[in-house]
Amino acid sequence: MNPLLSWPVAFATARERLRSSVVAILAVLCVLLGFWRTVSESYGADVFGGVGAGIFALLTLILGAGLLSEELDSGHAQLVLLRPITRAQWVGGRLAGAGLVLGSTIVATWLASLATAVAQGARLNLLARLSVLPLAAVYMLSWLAVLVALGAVCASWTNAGYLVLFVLVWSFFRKLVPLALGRPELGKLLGEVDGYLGPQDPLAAAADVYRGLRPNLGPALYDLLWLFGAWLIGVLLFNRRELARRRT
Amino acid sequence: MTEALSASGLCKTYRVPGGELVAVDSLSFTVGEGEVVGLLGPNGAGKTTAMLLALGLLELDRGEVKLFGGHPESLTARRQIGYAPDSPLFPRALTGLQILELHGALLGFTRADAKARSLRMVEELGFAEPARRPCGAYSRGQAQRLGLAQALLGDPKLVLLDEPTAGLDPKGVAAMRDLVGALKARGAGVLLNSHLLSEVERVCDRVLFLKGGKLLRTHEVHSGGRRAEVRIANLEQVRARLAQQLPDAVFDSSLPGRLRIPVASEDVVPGLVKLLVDAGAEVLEVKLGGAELEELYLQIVEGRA
Repeated sequence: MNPLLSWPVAFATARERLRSSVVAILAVLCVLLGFWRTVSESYGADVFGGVGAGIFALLTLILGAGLLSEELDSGHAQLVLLRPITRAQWVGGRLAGAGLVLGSTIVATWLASLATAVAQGARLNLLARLSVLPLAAVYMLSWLAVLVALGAVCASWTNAGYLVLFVLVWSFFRKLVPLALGRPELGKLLGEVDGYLGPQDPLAAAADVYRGLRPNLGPALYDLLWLFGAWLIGVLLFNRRELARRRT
Repeated sequence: MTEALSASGLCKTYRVPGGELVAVDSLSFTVGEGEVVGLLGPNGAGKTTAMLLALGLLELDRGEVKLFGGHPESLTARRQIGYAPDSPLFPRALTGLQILELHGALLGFTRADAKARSLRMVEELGFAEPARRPCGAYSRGQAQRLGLAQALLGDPKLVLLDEPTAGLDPKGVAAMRDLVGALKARGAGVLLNSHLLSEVERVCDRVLFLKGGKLLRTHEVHSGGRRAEVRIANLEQVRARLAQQLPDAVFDSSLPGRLRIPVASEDVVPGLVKLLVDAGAEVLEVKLGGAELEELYLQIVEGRA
């Protein structure tokens, strides 16, 4: 058995998340964007930017919201964790299950974009197009892992709520503090810090491939660090958690 | 008898608004293989907490639990246990069969084997048709049966059942009784938490009376044989004759028209009724078991004389 994740848990999670109508609608919207927002003479990253980025962010948020706590609150997680699997495998399985849904949507959107580009008679740069797939996946999966890490300690859907709250508060802080203090140089510093407060958008590396430049894989590697780091922190936090609660 | 579960000196205190609540206090007990042990006590006695501590789902403040001689969270121990919680909830979008197949896969069965076992289990527990529907639409009784099915899926050697008859119809209660009997017959240990005294008396070998998290007393259910409680319309008229023919019979003045007679087993009840009728007694009702445990429960737990 895989020591990092339980595949039966992952498949059950994917099945369960796919039955959510909100997830299904968002996934379909993403794929439709693949048809509508494709610019023929491009490398296919446009579908993951702008409106696409917003819808994918929402899908990630919905998939990760309550990913651990829903099962814990219902008591099913306790039954699953009485089976011969570790807590780490369960957390990994839940993350992988939501990741399978997210990954499948990314692939379907990418295929829709590719089909549209072909239909428009574009000259395809397949290498650049292919590079978009793992880059988009690692970026979104790392955000999903952050939600899982928060979910190890947060109740219900509050993991998603806290993340959104943090992003909003930080955005205001970053923009308002330099203005309020009359120190524009502080804005530059906070902008630098901002780049490291969460996973970084690595899709610029696909643009590098498209232009024939050496791709900057730094953000993608940084995102991988977030993916495994957040999973690990989630597991460490979850290991400290008492599984059952007093029945009232 | 090999010990499937051994708990010694279990202590658990919950933090509640305004202070602390001692849920389990220095509780020690064992469950042997092939033994059915019942937990009895009023609400808040610590029965469910004791089960959760035994399973390692709650952290102990003090004490030690061993499942088959090992730590309760060891993967080896977990292959051999089954737990059916009170009022279980399952992912609403998945069907009962999909949930059972997940548990089968986690137990290490192949996909085909997990599917076959799941189908067999839902048929045995009489909910084959609802098991194909998403759990979100389940009644309490159906969820209870699914909880039982997942607990028994891997042929566990130790089964912990928390209020397994809650929400079940009379047919389900009877099936549950047979099921506990079948588990005992194949050598599995069972820890049963139930409020149904008559059921507990029928299926348990040993009963632990709990109150305020403490073990008040352990009672061997069938150690002194069983007892028939008989209601007789003309007891005063035949009293002297019955006292002569049944020297072990107890005439309790607090229960007019009733007498209690120790019996070795339920097989002797027809002969007893014939003897009573031949002695001129007008027998209105014969109840086997239940009364003794109920009496003990009231004495031990409620403190009634």
